Amino acid sequence: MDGLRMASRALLAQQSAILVTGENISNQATPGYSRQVARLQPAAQSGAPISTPKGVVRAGDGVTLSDVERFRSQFLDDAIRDQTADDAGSQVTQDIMGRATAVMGDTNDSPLAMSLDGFFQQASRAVATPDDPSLRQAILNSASTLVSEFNTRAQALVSLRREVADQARSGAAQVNQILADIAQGNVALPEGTVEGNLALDRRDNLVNKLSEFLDVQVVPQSSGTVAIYQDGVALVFGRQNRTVSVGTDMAGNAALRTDSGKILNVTSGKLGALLQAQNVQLASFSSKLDTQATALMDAVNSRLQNGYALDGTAGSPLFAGLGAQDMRVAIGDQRRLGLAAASLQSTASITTANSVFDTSQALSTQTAALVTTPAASGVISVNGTNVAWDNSMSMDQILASLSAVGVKGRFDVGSQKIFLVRDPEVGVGATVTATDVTGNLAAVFGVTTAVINPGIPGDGSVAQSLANLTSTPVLGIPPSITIPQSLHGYLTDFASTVAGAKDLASTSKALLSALTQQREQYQGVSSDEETMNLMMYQRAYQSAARLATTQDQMLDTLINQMAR
Amino acid sequence: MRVTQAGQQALILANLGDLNERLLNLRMQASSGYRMQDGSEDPASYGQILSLKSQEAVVTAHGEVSSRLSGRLAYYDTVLGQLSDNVRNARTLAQQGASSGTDPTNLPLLATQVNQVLDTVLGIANDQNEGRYIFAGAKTDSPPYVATRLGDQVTGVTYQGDDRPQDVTLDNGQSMKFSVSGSEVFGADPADPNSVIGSLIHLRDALKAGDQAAATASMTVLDNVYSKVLAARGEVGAREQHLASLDLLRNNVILQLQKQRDSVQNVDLPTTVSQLMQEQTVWQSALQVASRVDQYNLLNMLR
Repeated sequence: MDGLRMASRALLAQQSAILVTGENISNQATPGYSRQVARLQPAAQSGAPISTPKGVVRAGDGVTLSDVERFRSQFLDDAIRDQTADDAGSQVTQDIMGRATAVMGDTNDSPLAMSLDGFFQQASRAVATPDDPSLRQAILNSASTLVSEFNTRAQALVSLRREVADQARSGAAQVNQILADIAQGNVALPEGTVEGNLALDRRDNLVNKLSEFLDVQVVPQSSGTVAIYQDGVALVFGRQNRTVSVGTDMAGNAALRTDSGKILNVTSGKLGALLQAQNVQLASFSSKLDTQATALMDAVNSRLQNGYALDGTAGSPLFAGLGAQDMRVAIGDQRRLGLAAASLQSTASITTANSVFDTSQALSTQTAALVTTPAASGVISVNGTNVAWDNSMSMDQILASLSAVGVKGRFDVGSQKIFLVRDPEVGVGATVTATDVTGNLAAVFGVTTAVINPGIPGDGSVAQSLANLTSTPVLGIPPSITIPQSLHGYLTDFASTVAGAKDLASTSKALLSALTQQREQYQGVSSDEETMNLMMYQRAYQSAARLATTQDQMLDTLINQMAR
Repeated sequence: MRVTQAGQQALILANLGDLNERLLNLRMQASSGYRMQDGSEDPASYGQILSLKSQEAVVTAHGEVSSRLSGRLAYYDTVLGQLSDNVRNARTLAQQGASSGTDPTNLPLLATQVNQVLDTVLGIANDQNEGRYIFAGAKTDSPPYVATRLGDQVTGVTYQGDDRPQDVTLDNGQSMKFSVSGSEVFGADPADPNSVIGSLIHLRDALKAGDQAAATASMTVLDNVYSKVLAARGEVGAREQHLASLDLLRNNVILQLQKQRDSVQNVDLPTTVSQLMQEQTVWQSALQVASRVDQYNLLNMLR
């Protein structure tokens, strides 16, 4: 009977092993499945006593299934979980950057850069004939196009931020569902059984799913359960779980918080990437776009407001608004464009008849050529600012010194007159004034009784100053940078950020792939291996069946044959 | 090392994905002619392209302005030519009037002709080009020279234009004055007997009065006036030449900029097509291997 018992144990053990092998074969394509191996070991020696020359020994009891071992590496699991968070986060970031690229129209022909170039081109065309209505209208049209490009991008970035915020909220809801599922199954699972192993796989898969959303730490507990922490806060402990939601932190940035109000520091995963995109990248793109828009508006408006419109009134700002989103063209009538600068000019020639005035020589040496003999020194107030001079200076030097107070002075050989023209690039204010505080320079200039000429239709000084913005550094953006250079820098910076996101996504994916391969090597199912196991256990089963048959025949012989 | 089917398939799929991505990039390059489809593929080159395009736009605008100014200067040249012809005509009339051989009774006739020249010159002084008074300086919307008349005879003229020089900044920040002010041609005081208009008024009145001595003096004045008009015309010619030389330089600059941009932006099509064919061959091989690799396993062999 011991033999039959042994045979039956062997049959059961091999059958169990075949079932385990079958489980592996069935699940070889199941994501997250850990292969299981049936551990067979000899049963305790408690069988019938056998007399041997060396004494009585007990026969073995055959084989028994001691354990169904689950192949899972805690080390690899932890590494993959961390990398999953990084990879999921970087993929989301890449996706968002891709959508931002589509929004910005960042292709070989950047429409924003082209429209800025077009605006300055129109200003340049209007310099020689600033009174041409079609050229003035073209400036307004190109300004509208430029504004539209800024508005579109700003609005699209706002919409994208909103979409990202929605995605984050949706992600938080998914996290809550996963946390609840983990907590529900977070019990002490029986190890060494197929059911227990499958339950452990389910829990690990849920944790992996969770790590796609945020970086978590999994701490196995002595009770056989796990505790899941994020930033030191227990999200799952025993069968209890917290919930999370997207709110704002003290600084007003989007943040993930628990139901107890604690703000979590989520640095990776989809939620980490979504929050980062909202608070940092997209916010930065929007803010820098606003900087470009305001720098442009300030530079253009200040110049136009230093000029005069066709009707002789002071120029109006061309642009209005606080940033890229609400930027708009504030002039509807091309006649209101202040493209002409005010000037003060000598009422008559300042030189005597048939004389040659050398503007590069000291005034003291040119008295014979001048109608009014200059004093030895003096102070002239130009646009309300005092400028000192003396007769050792040349006319060129004196006129050049006026540039700091927003006046371009020149002596015209043709008319032999002095022209003091408002420089639209300096200061605020459209007029030009020049009066003597001491000395008689204004008299030498011939402007003491001169009347300021407001905007004269054929003067394109302000149009020229607008066109000069392609080469003139402006305030509001880093020194020695022009407006086009600043915009190019913004677009290039944007492209670099997108490129960085792509590279990071590619690297993360490769790392995750490598770790996953490693895990697959360890815990994955090899059909060749399982096929061999199947054959082995099948043969063993057949052998055990043969043993049972043999034992049965022996007993039959004993019982039925010998008793006759 | 254990090799599982799932691991093998994941690896093959990843490799096929990479191959596919490379193929797609090459196809996009070949079909668009551009090396990059968006700036993130090469941010440094993208920045360069933007800068070059901006420079091209500025230079192109300078070219358009230069073309416009050339037209205006050519017009000035024509008008100044007409003016010099009229001054020379007046000079001839003055010479006739001053000649002792001229019958004094003909002097009024000469005066009438001078008056006609005067009207013509006044018309030239108030000439317009594309609706703008060309000798009005920046005050292009109103006639710069306003005559006072006694009957049909101009007795005086005042300048109501603006002598402000009109400049334009061209290539390399060079500034060029493109206007010709009334003062340069017709004098600071147009009524001055030594200016164009003033001298014609003076000559006409002298001839009317039969003053041949004054007519003789007018010849010298008209010679000076003629020189001044020629000088102004010469100045216009010099500016036209300057613009023409800038145009030549500018064309080279534009070509260079375009060439530079092409080298950064455009693909080398033969190289790209060759790479594409190479990758397609690799892709086909990878697909064939992928389709066969799973056929070889123990399970299939045991059948």
